[in-house]
Amino acid sequence: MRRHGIELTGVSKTYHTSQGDIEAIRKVDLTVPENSFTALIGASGCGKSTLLKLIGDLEEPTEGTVRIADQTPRQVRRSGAIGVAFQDAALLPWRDVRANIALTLQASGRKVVRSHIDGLVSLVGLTGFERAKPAQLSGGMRQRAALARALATDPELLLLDEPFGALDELLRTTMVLELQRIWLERPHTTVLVTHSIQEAVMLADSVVVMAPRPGRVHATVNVPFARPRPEELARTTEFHELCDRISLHLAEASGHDVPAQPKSTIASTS
Amino acid sequence: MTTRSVTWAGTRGGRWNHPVSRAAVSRLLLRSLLIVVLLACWQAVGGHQWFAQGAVPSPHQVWDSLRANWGDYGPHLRATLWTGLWGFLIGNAIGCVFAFLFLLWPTTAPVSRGLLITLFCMPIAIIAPLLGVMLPLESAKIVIASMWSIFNMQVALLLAMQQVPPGALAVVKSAGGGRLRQLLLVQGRAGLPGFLAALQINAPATLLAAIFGDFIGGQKGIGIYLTGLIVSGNQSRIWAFSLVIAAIGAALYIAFGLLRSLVTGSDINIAVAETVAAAASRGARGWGTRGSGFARSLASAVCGLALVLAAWWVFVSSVSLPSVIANSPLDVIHTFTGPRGPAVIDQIGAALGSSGPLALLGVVLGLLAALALAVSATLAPWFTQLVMPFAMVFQSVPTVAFAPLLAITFGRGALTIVLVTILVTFFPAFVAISTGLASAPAVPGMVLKSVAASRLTMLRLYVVPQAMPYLLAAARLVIPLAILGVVLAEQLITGTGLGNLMSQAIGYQDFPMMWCITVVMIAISVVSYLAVETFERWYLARRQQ
Repeated sequence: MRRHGIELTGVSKTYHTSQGDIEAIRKVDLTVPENSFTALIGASGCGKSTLLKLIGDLEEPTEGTVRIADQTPRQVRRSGAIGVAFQDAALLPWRDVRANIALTLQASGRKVVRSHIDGLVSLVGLTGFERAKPAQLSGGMRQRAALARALATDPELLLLDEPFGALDELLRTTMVLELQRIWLERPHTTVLVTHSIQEAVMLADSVVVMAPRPGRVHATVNVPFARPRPEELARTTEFHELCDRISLHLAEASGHDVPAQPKSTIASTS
Repeated sequence: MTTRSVTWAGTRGGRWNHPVSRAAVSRLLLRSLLIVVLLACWQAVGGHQWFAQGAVPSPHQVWDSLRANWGDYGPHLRATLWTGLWGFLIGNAIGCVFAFLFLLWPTTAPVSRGLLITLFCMPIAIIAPLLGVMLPLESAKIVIASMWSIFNMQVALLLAMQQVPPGALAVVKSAGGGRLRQLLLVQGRAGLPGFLAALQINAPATLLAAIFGDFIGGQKGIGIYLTGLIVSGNQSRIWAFSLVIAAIGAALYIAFGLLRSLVTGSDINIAVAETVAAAASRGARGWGTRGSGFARSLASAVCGLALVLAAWWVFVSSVSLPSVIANSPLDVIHTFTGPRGPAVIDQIGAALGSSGPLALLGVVLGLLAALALAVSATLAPWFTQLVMPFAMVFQSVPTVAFAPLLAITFGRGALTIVLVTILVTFFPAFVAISTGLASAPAVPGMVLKSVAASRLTMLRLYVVPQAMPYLLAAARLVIPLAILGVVLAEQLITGTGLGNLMSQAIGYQDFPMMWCITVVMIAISVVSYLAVETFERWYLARRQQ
């Protein structure tokens, strides 16, 4: 049934370094339904980025399996069906916006069609900046270009690793709404790694709270709000209650490691 | 992060790359004025014989000599430039191959690095006669001309290819692209500025190496003409020809700089040590894990040595000459341990005792002078702006070609040897340190200013520590040049030390002795390089922890 859904079963990842083994994630089971938006949230070092890399075949699991619609991540990646964006926009400084967006098309060996690229440019709101080099763009514009580049191959799976992590608070709010608009226009199965509870609640169908050292799934919270979710949603009581719940989960998740911190204190501050 | 900002600052063009403005025009006027003043001083000194008993001819006399002998230069210049062209093409091609090899299979890097450093540190004035014996004359000259380019190209190209935005490779991989596509779409293009920078650095360096190749022998060549001039002792003619060589070096540097600036849109000038300084601070990061880091360095040093010995063995077996002439590593060990051993060790030891301290003194003085001038120039930025273009060009000029000038001016003694080494060391170091200081972040300086730090405190706390990595990188780069300068000065001018011992060995066709001197010199050169590099890494790692 889940044609492009993701299924993780008993996935562990251990890095071997000269200073000993580091267990990044342990025994993670996770299901991401097709065309859903899932957010991974957790403290630094809880393995959320590692999980994303395992799904995208940028790393291989030490144990367990990752399946995407009954295919391995490698098969899906090789077929050019994955799009990624990172905190660092990672644009090539010698290419203009158009050529940067075309990079993923060239990488997957597809033809670059000008009208297709220009469609993406206008989708992410960069019309007028087609010929600009990354050095001439602002941080938000660079992330827009990086998003367009991820979408250029029309991927079935979109993997976003804190794409707005380096932006300021105001710009972040705008970009979250922009991402929602883009996602509604072209829904893909999407996994977003984020540090921001508000961002996760605003965008996702379900929020996966992860616990650190070793990284594992602590809780999954469903987000019931109908789309499109307007900016005003962030000022409603329901929204805040949901954020508080996730915040509590996060505190519990790291509480395993820091038993000195009583739960009640954290609850009252959040 | 510092690594990146340093390199990008270099490729994007720095402070000498403004569009034509009023300030630029006035700077140009000032620089022209400086040249006129210098020429006037030279005319005054030369015309009145105030200095060195009239050993310095006036510009007027030099110009007359240049015009009178212009016809003689042509065939000699053509011969050396032709050899140099082949050496340049071959050396840079090999450098590119190594850069791609290290990029695709990083495990090969620590093993083959030893071989590349050995080629870079090769005292070509010493190895030239031996190569001349073992290879056909033209091939020997081309090999010598190609030696320096390999290492420079490998370092600059690899570093540039590694300077891709983090994540760009993952983006290509995620879209289904393989290693080849990553290379074509991202890293290959990212390497272009490094490739062009290496060409610019290598062009004048190849000219210098090709001149040393001429000393092997033959009918035509810059080196051959220069030797004849030194014997003739005609001051005006030596000056005229040295200036012609310098002008060709500068022209090559500027021409390749224009090409680079046209393609990448960056400044024409480049600090030779800059890319290498960045490479060093990359290496320093891996230094943190002390135990395994040391074990790994030791392992790669052993592998590097084995590879160098193997290459040597293969080379001497391939030239089909009797082993009396083409010594293998074992033959050299036999010479040292055999009946001649003590005498050979005594002779080389005595020669080293006279050359070593002078070379070391020259290098230290040259580096200190460069540090002092570059650091104090931060107090007067107009001074740096005024002299920097000249220094940039001068770092590329084959300053060793000025050794005969120094000899006729300062006599045939130890002073000249020290001066040659200072001359060779000063310009690359000054340019490297100044460029490093120019690309330094401004905020720490502002913090110090805000608490009303005195200029001296500012220098001590911020400017000098900021200059240190560049000073060390420059020190590493000038080692082979300094050794070259000393040997040349000893061979052509003073008739002392190692240079003289080598000349004698060549005269007597004493091949075992030639091999022993060569091996000792290469060892000294490589060990000094590695010692400075190790200190550099230790220093940078200690700063970062």
